[in-house]
Amino acid sequence: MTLSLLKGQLSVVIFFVFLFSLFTIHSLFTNEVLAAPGDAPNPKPCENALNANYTMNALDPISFTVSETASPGTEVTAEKTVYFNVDFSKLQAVFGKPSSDYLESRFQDEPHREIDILSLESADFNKFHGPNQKITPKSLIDPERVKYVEDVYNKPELAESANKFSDINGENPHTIYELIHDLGFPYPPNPPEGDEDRTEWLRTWGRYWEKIPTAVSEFNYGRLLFLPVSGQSNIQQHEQGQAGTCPIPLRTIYFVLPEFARTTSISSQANRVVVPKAAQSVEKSLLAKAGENTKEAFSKITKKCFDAFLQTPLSKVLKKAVKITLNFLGPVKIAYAKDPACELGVLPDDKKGTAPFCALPAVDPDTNQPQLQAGDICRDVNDPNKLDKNNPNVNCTFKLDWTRRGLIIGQTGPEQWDRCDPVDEDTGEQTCYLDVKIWPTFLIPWLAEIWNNTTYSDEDESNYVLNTKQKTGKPGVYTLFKPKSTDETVFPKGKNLPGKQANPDPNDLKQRFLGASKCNLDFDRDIALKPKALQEANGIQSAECNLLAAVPPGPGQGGGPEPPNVPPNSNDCSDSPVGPYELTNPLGNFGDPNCDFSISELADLLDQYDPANALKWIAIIGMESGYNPNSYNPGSTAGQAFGLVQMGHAAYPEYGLDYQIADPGTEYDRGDVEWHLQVYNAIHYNNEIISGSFCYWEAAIILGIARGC
Amino acid sequence: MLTLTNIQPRLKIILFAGIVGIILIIVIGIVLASLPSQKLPSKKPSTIASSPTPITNPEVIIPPKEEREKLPIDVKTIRKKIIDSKIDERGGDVILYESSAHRIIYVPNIDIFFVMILEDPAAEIKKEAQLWFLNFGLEQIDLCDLPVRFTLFNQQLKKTNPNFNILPDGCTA
Repeated sequence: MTLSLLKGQLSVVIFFVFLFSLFTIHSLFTNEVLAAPGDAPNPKPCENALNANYTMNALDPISFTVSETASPGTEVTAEKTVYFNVDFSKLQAVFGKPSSDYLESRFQDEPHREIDILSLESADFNKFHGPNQKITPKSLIDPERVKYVEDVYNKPELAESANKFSDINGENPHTIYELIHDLGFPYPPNPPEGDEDRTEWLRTWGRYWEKIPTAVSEFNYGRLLFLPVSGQSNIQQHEQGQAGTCPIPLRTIYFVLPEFARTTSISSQANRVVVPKAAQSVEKSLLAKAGENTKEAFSKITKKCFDAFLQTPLSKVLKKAVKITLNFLGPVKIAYAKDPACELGVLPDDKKGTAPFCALPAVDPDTNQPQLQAGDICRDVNDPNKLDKNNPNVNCTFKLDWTRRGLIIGQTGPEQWDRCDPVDEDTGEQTCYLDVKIWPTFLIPWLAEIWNNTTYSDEDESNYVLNTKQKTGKPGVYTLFKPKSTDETVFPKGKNLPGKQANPDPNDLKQRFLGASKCNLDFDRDIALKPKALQEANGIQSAECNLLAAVPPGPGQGGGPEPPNVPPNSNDCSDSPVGPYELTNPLGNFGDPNCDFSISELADLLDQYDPANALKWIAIIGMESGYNPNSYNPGSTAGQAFGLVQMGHAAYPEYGLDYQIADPGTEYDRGDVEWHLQVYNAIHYNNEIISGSFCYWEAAIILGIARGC
Repeated sequence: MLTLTNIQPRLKIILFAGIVGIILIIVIGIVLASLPSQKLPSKKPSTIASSPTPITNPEVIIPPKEEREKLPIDVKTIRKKIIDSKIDERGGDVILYESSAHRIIYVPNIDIFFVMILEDPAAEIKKEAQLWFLNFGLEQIDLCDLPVRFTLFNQQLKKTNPNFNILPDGCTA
């Protein structure tokens, strides 16, 4: 053997070993090996979700005006950067898990899978099966369980493929795969009927059958679009639903929604059992059906634009998860409409309404391109409900760059400026203005079918439920037991229950959305099928709806909505507890424009927002600002510091102050605002941006409050 | 001519070195994969002109209300007398004394007295404010647990008094 030959072989060996190492490294980073049907469980939560029918939920538009100054006739380009923050952990409030957990019971949860059924007390045994399973004949439940086994066995990547089920004695836990592959249970399961011999069944699947769920918790994709419209006349046309074309999204963000399929499937099962056949929901398995024709469904959605989809109750829930900020402008405040009778609110109760959620998928499932772009920021949220534990992209701020080219200074009208100032005689230049609105729009699957299954179907509302048929007069499982005559007694504060509206108003649509489904669930569970004495014995005093869509508060975080800002003024508040203020800052009285600051009020506010740390904040604020909400330090290490807690500020070019905010997007690092908002910002900055460490404040370090800096 | 026998030892060495190198690459890959992919935005703490020695027990600065129950009876009596001497009440804060140089406030919901110093010389004004409390019959040491706390109401005062102590004289943190 010659050296040259050996060298050649050696090169080949090294080349293959190198390739192998590259493959190993790639696998380490990407972890994208998918299992085939019948393979061992390889759960990939939050990957390979399904597309579905969509319901459109447009939020309040991001509104701003752009302007340019130049000589008349000059062609210019108008630009604006907008940040949009979404906390995907807060979307769990709309996943409908309470409804599926109620109807089916918590079949997917570990304690339920491991429990020893035979030793359960009567009350606990009663809770083991949800109403769905109690009322459904075995001949209908069995096929659902067989289908569950098939689905889990054929899709090893499902999150629940690794779930282990104990037998009815709470022993011998195995996955579905192990039961079939290792223990040799027949596949598919074949539950015996009538007088058939049960020996083999009781030796195999029969021991586990009562533990098998009736619905797979398949995941679905949701989408978040940003639809821009510029020019007053265009905006007006779109708002009135008269626009001939739809705006092209600035950006589309995909996110994953667990639980939808399960909720839909279970409510559909219930509808078919409880509701008479002639009145059953129009179509079955709409969710899966639509997934086969996603592009067509999606084009219908874009054709519909956002006409009539504004301000739905679900939009209000979605708003809780988002925050909009405009660079160099004050944050846009979202008005939270409240309806105490059936509020789609975010309740401070972490025991109800929470659900598994997924972080932002790394790539767009259509194009396989990364979803995060330059200028986007994501951070992790420590939440036990997060399914994809290694994905840190939970609270994300997306950068949106709006651009409009070909604008001619001095020209107004369609496709040009909205208005222009007169030409300045000194400079010969002219300033022109253009109004812009960007609608953040969530496309959420499932709602139509769940509404129909649980509440009501109404042809007049077809516009709100895309790509589905509605048929008036078909009740849902929760409304079947409730006489319409009880509406005003049960929900006295408005028309919250199913009923055809003579003139449908988007604001009255609450009865068709998540709230109605949950409100009616409560009614059935607590009132309709219980005698009065039992209601009283159970402590049911009020029949009013309490919607259980909850988002758990963060660590150390008390309740309370974001307070509105108040523009600065020049009032020195000479009669206030801490006035008069020496307004030596460039903004004037930014911190206490209403002259209502006092240390007592401050202490109360801290006790509300962050009770665990209220006294620490009192100490920090005393040292940072001396309890002066208008405190201003022009020589802070980071630039300028404003307010009680000496934080950052927006850009004020007129005063020579650049944008100085450490968390663009969320923008909690702002002290140049009214004092209630100063406090809110500081607490949220501490809890959400720096993990409760207090390391931002030197006072906290000096006082020994800051930890791990 | 180079033979296979001659080459084998060198081949082993090359192969060994190659495998070690690849293992190193994989190890580096594992380490890189385990590193966090993003860092949070950070910002330096704001500047506080006065930077006294760190206080190890933050509860000394703003003690919880329960601590007041431990005060001696006579101090409690004087304390009530001080509070009753209020000249005004605004937004829940009880105004006890007010001048162009300083303001003394009692905050009922956290049960603490604050002295806001509004101008220089801060050290002398602090002594003046302490004297106001002592004139009710308290000892200097009583001010620590009353509790009385001092603040500088604007950033300029912080610059001119970098070692200002928010505790009354004689108190230990």
